[in-house]
Amino acid sequence: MIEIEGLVKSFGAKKAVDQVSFTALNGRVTGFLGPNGAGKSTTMKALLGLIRPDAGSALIDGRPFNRLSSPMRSVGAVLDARSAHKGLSAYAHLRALALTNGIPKSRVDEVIDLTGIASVKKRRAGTFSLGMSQRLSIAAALLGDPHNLVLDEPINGLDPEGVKWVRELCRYYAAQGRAVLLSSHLMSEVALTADDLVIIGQGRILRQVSVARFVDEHSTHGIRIVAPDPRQVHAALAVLRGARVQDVPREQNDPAEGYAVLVSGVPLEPVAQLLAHNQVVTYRFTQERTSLEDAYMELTHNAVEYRSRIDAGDQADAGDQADAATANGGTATAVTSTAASATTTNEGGAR
Amino acid sequence: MSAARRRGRHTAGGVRRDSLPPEPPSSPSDIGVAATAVAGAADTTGVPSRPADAVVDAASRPVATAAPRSGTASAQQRPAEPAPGATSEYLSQPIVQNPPIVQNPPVAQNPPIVQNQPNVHDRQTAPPDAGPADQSRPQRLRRANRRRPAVRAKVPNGRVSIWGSIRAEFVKTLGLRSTYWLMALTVVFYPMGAALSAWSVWFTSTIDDNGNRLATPKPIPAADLWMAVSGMTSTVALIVGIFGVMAITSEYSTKSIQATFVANPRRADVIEAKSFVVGVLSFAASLIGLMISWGMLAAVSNGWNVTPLSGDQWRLPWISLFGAALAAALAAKIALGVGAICRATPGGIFALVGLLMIAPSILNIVAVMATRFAWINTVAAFMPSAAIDTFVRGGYQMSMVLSTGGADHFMPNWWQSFLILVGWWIVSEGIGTLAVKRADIR
Repeated sequence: MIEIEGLVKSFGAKKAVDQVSFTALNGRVTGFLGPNGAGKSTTMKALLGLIRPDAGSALIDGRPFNRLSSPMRSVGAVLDARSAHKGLSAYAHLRALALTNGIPKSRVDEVIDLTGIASVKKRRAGTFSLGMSQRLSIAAALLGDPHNLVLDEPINGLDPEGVKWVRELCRYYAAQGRAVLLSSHLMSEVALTADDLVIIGQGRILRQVSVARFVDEHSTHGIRIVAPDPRQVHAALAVLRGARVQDVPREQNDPAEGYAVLVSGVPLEPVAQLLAHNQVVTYRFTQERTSLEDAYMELTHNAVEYRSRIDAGDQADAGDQADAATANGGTATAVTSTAASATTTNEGGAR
Repeated sequence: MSAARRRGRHTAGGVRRDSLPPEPPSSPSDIGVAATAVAGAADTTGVPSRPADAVVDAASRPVATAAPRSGTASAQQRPAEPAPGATSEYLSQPIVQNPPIVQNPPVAQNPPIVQNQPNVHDRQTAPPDAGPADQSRPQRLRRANRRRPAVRAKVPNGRVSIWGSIRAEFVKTLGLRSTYWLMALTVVFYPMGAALSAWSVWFTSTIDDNGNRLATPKPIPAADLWMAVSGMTSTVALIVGIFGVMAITSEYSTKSIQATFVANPRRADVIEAKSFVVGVLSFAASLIGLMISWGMLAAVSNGWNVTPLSGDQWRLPWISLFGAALAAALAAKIALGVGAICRATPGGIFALVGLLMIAPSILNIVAVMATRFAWINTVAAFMPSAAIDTFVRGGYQMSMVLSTGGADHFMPNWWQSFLILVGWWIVSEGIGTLAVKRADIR
């Protein structure tokens, strides 16, 4: 189990980690999500004794890392892909690490087979590709068969087969009752792997929730209506069987006035026709299918450290996105396929 | 991995195949093949979002084929009748048919939540296995295997220890090519220096004080020859010094210090182990070089007229051989401390050169130029390279070197110089350890 309590760390004037507290429980994969520069790596390094925090504590199985009698058996860490001495062979690197903790040579061979680098184990680590280096780091982490796994962006540089393998490894370890802390900036991958989510931005924890609940909250699809009088909307749609009409909070992109209502469980046409028939005034009428990626982006939008000056929406062809024509109060749908999953669009084009 | 091994029940380490984590992905040599096989979705430039592409796209691909069903509906196409539901009974006018909607492509399915449930109570005996089903195991063995506990300790107990750290540092140091280069240089420099010194000693013995050639050469004191054996020690100190500096700074420059400290958070132990290894290897290489010098000079000076050692010069062979090797080892350990303070290779090497060569030169120039500051000679004698020279000479003044030390100021003798070297080692390693303990590794 990994317990982090009130961690604070500043580098000079910049507060990299600001009162971060969370727990990674045994038997669960905890996804540690955040944009670049959010403080994920700093938190993990503080956990592993590489960085001394200004305040707060980080405990592994109830003890600080410096006081563990066999660190490699308690926690295996993948922090940086290229963390082997370039002049050493992979085998020598792993053997040296194993010797520090009294791990036998047979385990080194086992772990090499496990991570699939057996064919390159005698090559110097400086000649490895990124994927091989990543696997070497994972091998080093697994040497002690640790009770906790701390992985900082372990899928960087891995091919899809490797990504899948890391995911299965994490699930396997969690299934054995160990704690896995997995950090990433990809919501989609974390959603597939993790049980719990800890979202961090600009050094602060933004949200702690289980993945099941997060998915539940954000994968609903429905029709979002912004209207000056939501009671009219409720009344108009009351006759629809199976419709679930609920008031929801306004969002950033909503029109300046009006209240938001989410309608789910019914197709688009009857709702539109009913509203039109009852002459209900709406300021926005959109079919939404939120995705996890969007929910995560929304959450961390203001907490992004490194933001491009060029707004993606200004570009004529922003990658895979295609903007559909929008009509006032009409339905705006768009076909999008971003890197991770299909998302919504709102009126006004891409975000 | 060969199929035969995959069918086997045990791995090389004797672990039951059942309790293994998932099969590894294909070995790196197959990566290219595998990547292109996965619909070319892999982007090996390491863009993080791309690998997830294949995963999600693979999930949505079967569904996506159903998408264009209504996506290309033309403007003229209208639904045949009003939408189902209770709308028609409330309408006073016929419904204006809506234009056909461009169908959204099916969304990539949200990951099935079922697989994310914690199965703490449902101990998974067989990890997700991409390998072939094991059909060949007899039934009775399968039943026996199920009775065993699902999770067994794969790694026997152990702890971090200084001896484990020392062994690890040996593996790391002896696994590098640069180690062997520097040790080879050390071994070669001693005989080279010995040959040059011996030649000059011999040459001096054949001429008198005015430079005229003598009929019979003067006798050569054996002590001079012993000085020749170990004469290069202060130069070799630079070579083993580079070795010592790089032992720590190369870890920082290649970021392997992260892996080292995550495996063993006791940083003082790590520095001590490195110091031990660096000292042992420098001692061994120097000793080999010195032995070679000795053998060479013994062979060459066979026909010469050599005066044997006298009185308390008995210690000279010991100091020349083992003392010089020890001095080299201490120089390497001092350099390790310097490297630990700098934690960067160029800075460390520059500091080492400054300490061993530049600072003594400056001090000597100042002492010569301003005779008022004759006490600087004492300071100069305390520098590591001067201490090495004084120690290795063992109290013997070579016949052709005049001493310039002032009589009024304290000049350390040979064993005091040894203690000065030990002092340098302790201070340098102490400050280096503190610096390493305090520094964050970002």
